[in-house]
Amino acid sequence: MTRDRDRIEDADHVLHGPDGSGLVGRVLYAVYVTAFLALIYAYTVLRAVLVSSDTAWIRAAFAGWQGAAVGAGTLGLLAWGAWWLGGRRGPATPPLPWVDHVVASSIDRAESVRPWWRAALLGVSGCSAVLGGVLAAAVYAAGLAPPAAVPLGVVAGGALAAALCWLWLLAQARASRRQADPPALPPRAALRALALDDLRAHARRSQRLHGAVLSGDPRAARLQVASPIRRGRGLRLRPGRPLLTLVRRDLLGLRRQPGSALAGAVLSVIGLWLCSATALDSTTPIPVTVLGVGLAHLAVGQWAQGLRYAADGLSSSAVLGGSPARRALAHSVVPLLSHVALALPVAVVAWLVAGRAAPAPALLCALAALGLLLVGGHWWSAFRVAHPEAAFVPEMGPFLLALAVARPWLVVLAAGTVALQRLAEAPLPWLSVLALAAVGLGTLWRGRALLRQLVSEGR
Amino acid sequence: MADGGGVLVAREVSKSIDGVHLLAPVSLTATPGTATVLRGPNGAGKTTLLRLLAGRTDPSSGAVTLDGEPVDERKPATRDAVASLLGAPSAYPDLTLRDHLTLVDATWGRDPATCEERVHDCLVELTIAPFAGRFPHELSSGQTQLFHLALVLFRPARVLLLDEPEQRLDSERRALVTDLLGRRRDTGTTLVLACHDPAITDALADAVIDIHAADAPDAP
Repeated sequence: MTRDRDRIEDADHVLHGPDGSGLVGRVLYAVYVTAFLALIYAYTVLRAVLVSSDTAWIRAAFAGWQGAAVGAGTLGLLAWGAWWLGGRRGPATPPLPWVDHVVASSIDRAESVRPWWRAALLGVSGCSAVLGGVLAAAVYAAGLAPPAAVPLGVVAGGALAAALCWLWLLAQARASRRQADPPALPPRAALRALALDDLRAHARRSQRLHGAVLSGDPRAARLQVASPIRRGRGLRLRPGRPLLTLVRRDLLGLRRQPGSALAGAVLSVIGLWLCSATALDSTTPIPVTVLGVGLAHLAVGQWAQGLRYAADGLSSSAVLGGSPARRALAHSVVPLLSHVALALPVAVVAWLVAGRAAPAPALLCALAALGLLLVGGHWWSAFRVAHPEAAFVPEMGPFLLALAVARPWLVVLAAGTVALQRLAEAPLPWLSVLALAAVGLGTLWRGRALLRQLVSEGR
Repeated sequence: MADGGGVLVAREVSKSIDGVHLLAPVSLTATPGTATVLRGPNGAGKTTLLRLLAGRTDPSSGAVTLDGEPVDERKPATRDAVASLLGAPSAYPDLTLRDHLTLVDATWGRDPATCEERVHDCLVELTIAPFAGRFPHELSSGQTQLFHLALVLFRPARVLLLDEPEQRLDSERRALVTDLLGRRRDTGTTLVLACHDPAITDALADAVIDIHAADAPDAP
């Protein structure tokens, strides 16, 4: 073992000199930046939102079954996310040259990949502990929890992240498992079970993902994480008029990816319910509305694969006829109609059950207008041009990069939240509906302008 | 398929980026019903010339015209006239080969009633009919090349620009593609292709243009 560690140290010395790779230092710096940003932004914003919200409403909502359901749902989503990610890019993913030249050697594999596993564990647990503490501090500062919530938040955040990291590693090791292998549950055994080809695949995918994010190439990033489709081979695309065939194409895509269709439906129903609750009850806290709009936006994204494929294909040889803008319009039909089809029953049930602060027709029209905004946001995201050059400046770069990616999201969340909140308060709810529709058309217009820019630049 | 027009003219076109010469000045005229083959060593600028002919990039000097009008891929008229295989065309991961051709057929406004027949014929012609129900990621490299050729050949075009269509194909498939391209040329399509295969060049070429590396001693 000691000999293996000596060999690893020698390899590290050859590659990085006496100072080593600096992996742990980089991870600690990431934790420091997370803590810094969380204290400045997350704490301030969350505390302000909680203080300005109806605290009795929040206490009531989180004390009952709703709170337990949200907690269980969030945990389930995080666990699913860790498992899903582990099959694509595990926590123990050294760079490709290290895999080829060190991991491939006779050195114990648990030793040769352990630095990256430890770095992932340290980074994720550290960031999560910081976020847990900061969020708990904001809740305490808003008078919704005792001071003991802060250390509890730190411990819970760190422990939860450590458990998720372990699950992440198990998912990575699962792909390498052969029939005769016993289950490898302890981290050390899981690391030793990792196969060279899988480590290479993860390292290569990680490299490409990194490049795709930096170069603003969403297609390349999507190709790296997407699962290959093998379902519905017997289904056929029925020919028809050009735009109708594009709509049928999107429906066929959803039939071949029923998981996306179903996830979209579930997210949409929850999101639309929260949006309806906002419009029908003026005391609904802002975070609930933000969550509702965000979930509805994610849902439309699940149904808008065709739109993203159309955007991805703009840069390659023209194979399809018709103008790109008309094709994009056709690809918007399925996500918009799916949203409206679910909005109708959800709004009616919510109006009957949750309150009647706004007239039912206004609520229905508001949710339909929200659909325009959500589709417009996806146009904006899909046809986004390259990142600003300043995004590659070392200090401010990551922040600008995140801002460039998040801009459509921010517009959708802000416009949707403000309009729905005003719907419950305003004496004239139709003004909010019109404003929402106007912003929705504005985002579509912005997306169309970006599409034209992409076409005119030949990208 | 070729409904008039398709005269592609390049006059002394060259391409340089940041002082690096990608293509030395070259001229060519490709007329409907002819095949022009571009030959030259790797790095000579064949693909760059094809990109210039497709209007995908601007020449540093000279001009390219199609029927007297400047070629520009951003213009619908150019996109309508020119079909090109310059790198892999993007495919939908959730559509089978058959679905892709159906979609191409529909977006070009052809008769839906006879679509299935056309799609079948195209797949049979390129010997990929047995894989009609496969998704693009389920094809071998040679099958992928035939699928890409199918996408490009299936759409209507007056001008066909192909960058090494023989790539990754066995000798039998190369002969098949040669035959297909010859038939397209004979129906009046303007054909320009970069090619390293002497047999294809001999079978198709009405004109051969040798491209020299821009920094080669005998480059113009």
